Amino acid sequence: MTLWLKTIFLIPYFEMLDRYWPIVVQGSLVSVTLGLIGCFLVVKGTSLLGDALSHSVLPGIVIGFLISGSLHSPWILIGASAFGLLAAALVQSVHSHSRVKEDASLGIVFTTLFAIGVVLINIYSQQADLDPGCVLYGNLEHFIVDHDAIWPMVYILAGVVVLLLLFYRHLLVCTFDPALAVSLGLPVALITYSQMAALSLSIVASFEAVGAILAVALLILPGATARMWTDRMPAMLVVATIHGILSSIIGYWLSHPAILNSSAAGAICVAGFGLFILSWLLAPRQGLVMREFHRRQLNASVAVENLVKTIEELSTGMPPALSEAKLISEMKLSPRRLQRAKKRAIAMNWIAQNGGQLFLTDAGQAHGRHLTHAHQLWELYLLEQLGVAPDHVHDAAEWIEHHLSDTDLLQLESLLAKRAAEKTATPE
Amino acid sequence: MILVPYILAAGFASDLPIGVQAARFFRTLFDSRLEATDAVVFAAILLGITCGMLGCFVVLRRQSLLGDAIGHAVLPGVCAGFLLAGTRSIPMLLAGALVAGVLASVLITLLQRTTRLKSGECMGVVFTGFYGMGIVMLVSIQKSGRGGQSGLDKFLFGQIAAISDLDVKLIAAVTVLAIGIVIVFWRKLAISSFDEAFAFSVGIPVGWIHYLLTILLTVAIVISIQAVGVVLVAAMLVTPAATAYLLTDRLYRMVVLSAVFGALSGLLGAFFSLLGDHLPTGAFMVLGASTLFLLAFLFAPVHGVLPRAWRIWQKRKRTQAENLLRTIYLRLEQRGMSDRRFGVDDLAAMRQESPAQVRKLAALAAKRGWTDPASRDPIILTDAGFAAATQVVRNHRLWELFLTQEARLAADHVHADAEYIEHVLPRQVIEDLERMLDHRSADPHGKPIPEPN
Repeated sequence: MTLWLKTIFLIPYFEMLDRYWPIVVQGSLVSVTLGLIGCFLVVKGTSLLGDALSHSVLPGIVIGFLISGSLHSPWILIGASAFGLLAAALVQSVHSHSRVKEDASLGIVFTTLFAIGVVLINIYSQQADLDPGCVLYGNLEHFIVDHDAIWPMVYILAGVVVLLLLFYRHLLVCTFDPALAVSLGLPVALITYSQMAALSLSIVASFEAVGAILAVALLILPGATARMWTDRMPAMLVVATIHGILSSIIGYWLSHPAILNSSAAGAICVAGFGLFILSWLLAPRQGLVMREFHRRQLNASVAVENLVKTIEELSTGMPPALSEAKLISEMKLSPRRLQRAKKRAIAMNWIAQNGGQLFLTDAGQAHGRHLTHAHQLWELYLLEQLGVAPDHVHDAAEWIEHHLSDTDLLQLESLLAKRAAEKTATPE
Repeated sequence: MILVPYILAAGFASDLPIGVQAARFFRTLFDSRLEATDAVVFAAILLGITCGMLGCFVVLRRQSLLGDAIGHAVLPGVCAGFLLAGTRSIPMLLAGALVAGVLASVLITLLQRTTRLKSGECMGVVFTGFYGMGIVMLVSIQKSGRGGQSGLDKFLFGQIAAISDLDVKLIAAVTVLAIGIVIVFWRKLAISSFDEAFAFSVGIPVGWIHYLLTILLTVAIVISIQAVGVVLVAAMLVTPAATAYLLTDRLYRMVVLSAVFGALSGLLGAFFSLLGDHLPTGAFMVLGASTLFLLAFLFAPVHGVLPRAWRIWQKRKRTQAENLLRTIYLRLEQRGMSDRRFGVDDLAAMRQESPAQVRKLAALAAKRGWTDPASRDPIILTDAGFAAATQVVRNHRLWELFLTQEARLAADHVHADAEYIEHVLPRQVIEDLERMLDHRSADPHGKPIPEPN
């Protein structure tokens, strides 16, 4: 495994993995658990609930810690759950009993609870071994010396996966169409609350590893990244899992003493953010780069078609021909763009060049007729069917003529023919 | 529960009782000499004013999370400023923070425009990502051994004692600038905060106003992070503004009140964090703001929970007394409108209640001067009581008539609805009803609608 990673990344510092593996393992466990839950939240648009929740449970965790003296006791869970419930109740009561909107009441409640936790930590930090740092970025390095502390996260991940497999369909319906779920007789409230319970449990369990705020990053980033790559939930879950593991590995490497010498949890988030930005730019269908590429392709083919149409319309000879100078002045193109369109048109065998004159080939003429036909049909459709004013139809047709397929044209023709038949049948 | 941290801090911080500490604090604050504490407290008040004022627009635009997002996102800028300057040079740190904040908000807007992620998710991705970067840089700086002199950890939860005279001047300048911009752009800010679509339709450059506000917010956050810290700075934007929102319906009053609450929170935070070493100023400021919010939430005259509950309670008692009057009026009708004395048992039988309940209602009516308080049984209707009873029955029957004639409901479906509305019909509506119903004299069940006397 270690050797494999070394050859993949061609990066040193992986040889220390036999001692530091708990960082990668615990990091992956936390990110995958939160990422799986996060996918559903991201799709639904409620992932900032996790933000509020992770802030609000802080005083509960601190009180649990002060009672038991350890981050691995049931008191932590009890305290955190109590404050999670309290936060939910407070948000609900503030925004239903006053005119304050939901976003503001969320903001007020979670900052208040978080502030209480921060003060408690600062006051008791002399007495107990709990420093403000753990709230902000956790202590993933702790797991190197305490391997057994990894197990709770293993169980939680296993539980989340089992629940996902068992109730996958229910979850899916509740996420995308709660109204349908209700009408199907699904226990929507129960499912939502179980989801929230799983979320709180995972956030509390990941507190020691990554702290309260970075947990939110691990909750949102995998789902948001997966959303860039796919539209399907199963694929999203897989991509989110890969994202979680990959960012843990890269994060471990980034935080290595020889690279950045920094917090592993923070570095995992940075790696996850980096992967998100890369996906945003490079994803095959929705990535910015691919979309820009497609846009340029489209612009280029529109330019070629416009060239063909202009020659077809303005030329009187047979075969239709125009000089380049004339085309430049008529189409208001820069010479450079005309040359580019001409090259493409020649490559497509629509145009042939003879000196300064550009001729339409047979294929070019056929395509020109197709375009004119589409243009006229669309104008007619707008006039007849939609009642658009005659001086408004040209620009719309100019744009859509490049996008109408032959089937579209056939449909338009039959529609207009039917309309014409009706007109003759019932003269006004 | 909000007060627990204050009590703890007061107990842990010093041997002196809190009252003595407070007296000493305010004496040094208001005496004629200028001391270090004065500057610090002044700074806390100023940034409270700036955040409170700008927060109003954030709350009205329902963008409370934007403050949170920008607050977290400035952390890498602070660290980058430190790395570039090599020391804790405040102008550098603030410049770095400003750049990071603007970058983050640009990135958020870009993501919102070019991806299918929802707006909250775009914010979440950007601010957690930036925050992660900040944490990595911060820990890296601390591990390199320069952490001690950097004092960067103070930027997380705020430490107002670390503010220097130069910082105070900077904060004052920003406050003046922010107030000036808000005054100059007042109309545009106000209209676009309440109704962006309308603002756009009357030609206000909505996009530019949004950017202006975002930049102002970033600046306010940047000057606040020394005192409040990046984690909680959002609360200084949201909480005072929400408190003011509970107290008034007018924007300029809201802005002024919010600035006052912000300043008060700043003062509270400064005082408590100066009680002991290493107490986080930001957390105490936020708790101060939350306490003010809690007070407004409970006691605000119009929107407060308790005054509202009191008004509902009053209305309910009035309704109960009016229900008794209606029963009395029906009995009076049966007697041909003579003899205003009514036996408790008789009314109880009519209302299908116990005599004790009727006596309770009679006491409520007596308090309003509707029945004679001296006579408990029989109940004696006063002139005022007769007028009130006439009014209630009239409302009831007019409404029934309206429902059957205008809303075309069946005659046997209208009673329950009228039962409820008879208590809340304002005079204006009744006049409209009379006009609409052509001053008819009988209700759908054939009973006469009494004339007001």
